[in-house]
Amino acid sequence: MGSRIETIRHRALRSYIPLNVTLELTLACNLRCIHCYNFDRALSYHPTKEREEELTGAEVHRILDEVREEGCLYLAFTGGEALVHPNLDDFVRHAGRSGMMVTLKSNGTLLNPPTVQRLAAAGAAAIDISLYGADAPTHDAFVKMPGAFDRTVAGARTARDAGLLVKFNFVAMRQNVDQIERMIALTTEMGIPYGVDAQVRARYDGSRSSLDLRIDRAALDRLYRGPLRQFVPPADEQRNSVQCACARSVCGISAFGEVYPCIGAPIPSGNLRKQSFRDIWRDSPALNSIRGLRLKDFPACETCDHMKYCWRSSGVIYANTGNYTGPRVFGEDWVCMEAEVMHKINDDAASIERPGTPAGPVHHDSLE
Amino acid sequence: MGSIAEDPGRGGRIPEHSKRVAWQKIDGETVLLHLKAKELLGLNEVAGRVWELADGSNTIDQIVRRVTKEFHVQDEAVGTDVIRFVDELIALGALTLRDD
Repeated sequence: MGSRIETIRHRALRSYIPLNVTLELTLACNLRCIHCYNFDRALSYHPTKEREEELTGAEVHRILDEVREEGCLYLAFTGGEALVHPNLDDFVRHAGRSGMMVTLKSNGTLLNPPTVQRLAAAGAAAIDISLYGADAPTHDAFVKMPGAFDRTVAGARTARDAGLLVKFNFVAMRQNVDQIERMIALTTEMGIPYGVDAQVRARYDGSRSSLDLRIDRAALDRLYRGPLRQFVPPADEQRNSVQCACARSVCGISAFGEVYPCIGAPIPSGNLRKQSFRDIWRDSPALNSIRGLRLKDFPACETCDHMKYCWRSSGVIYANTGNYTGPRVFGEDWVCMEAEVMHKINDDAASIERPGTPAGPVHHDSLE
Repeated sequence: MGSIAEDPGRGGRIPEHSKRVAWQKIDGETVLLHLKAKELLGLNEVAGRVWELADGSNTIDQIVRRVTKEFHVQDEAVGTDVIRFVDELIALGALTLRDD
């Protein structure tokens, strides 16, 4: 049946069906993660927005109906922290009853037993939980909340035991790069799968200090030759595109009703307070422009020797360089170095039989 | 739960979508997604229509009548097929049954 899912995904890509929609319910969060892409969490809220401007319950219901009507099957609620929204249960119920698979993206700290039971009863199917360290000192310093690690791990266990599909997402950064192996051991012991991403993006408020957290070449090399060896992609000789599913089968919606090609690519494409989702999805010049891109439109990638090994994310590139089809030249973004390192590792191991192809790292553009 | 094919009062029972599946109509084809297994099941046009009608608002008899009318097919054969299909979906955990 796995190939059946791929068939449906390809059909959605080809026909521009928004199979995967991520809806940001709020920018509010109970943590203050130092890499947060929403805005610099040293501030109490986004510098140019007010929390009162966030989508109302009635608007969320309408949006859920509209994305469902246009073809959404996988619906993810995110934030901020989706669990701080007082109407989350109601939204989950509404989305689930309409037939969509509902996933929550969460930091896990609020997943106490009564909350998990309520969400499961409402119809939540899955929870993706962010983990930033193998121990409390590392994780808690990262999210700026004492006790967060214990609550996150306990929340994951509670959700798992309630029958929800739980997955951990790691972001490998300077602070935790030497803990990845232990993080994998922890999640393996819990029987919970994980995904890893080493790409860090500039924030949507324009601040860029999060980029200082990216690991350097030596650490990247150590990581991908070590605990993340299975994530080094084998060369894909058939690869003739660097595009992801943005604007084709993937869509993001901000807490203020702005439609994006992906929640990880904040290119304003129309606002749901002014237009229907159908009109934006079908007619937005920004979305149609992305759909029309070809390899030749990605100047540095078109001739890049490392393209077959690259986990390039257009959303990350856009956030970091302001150019969706970037980088303009090789090396303008960190991901070029990542691809170069992976290429080198593959070359070094060319004569060694590799294990089976695993799922790739979890980039925001490919949360399907 | 036993097979509804063996249940003489089945026609008055109401099938409804289970929380174990998500579904969508993609390019005209109805696909069911089993949430635990993350497996997809594609339905043909008639089966897709039965699925749409089995949303908790129709009895099995009503579904048979609607499908018979909409697809211009013979009643008895449709009834048997619908009941067999509903049984399969119950076995998959995709449908539950309640009494009127």
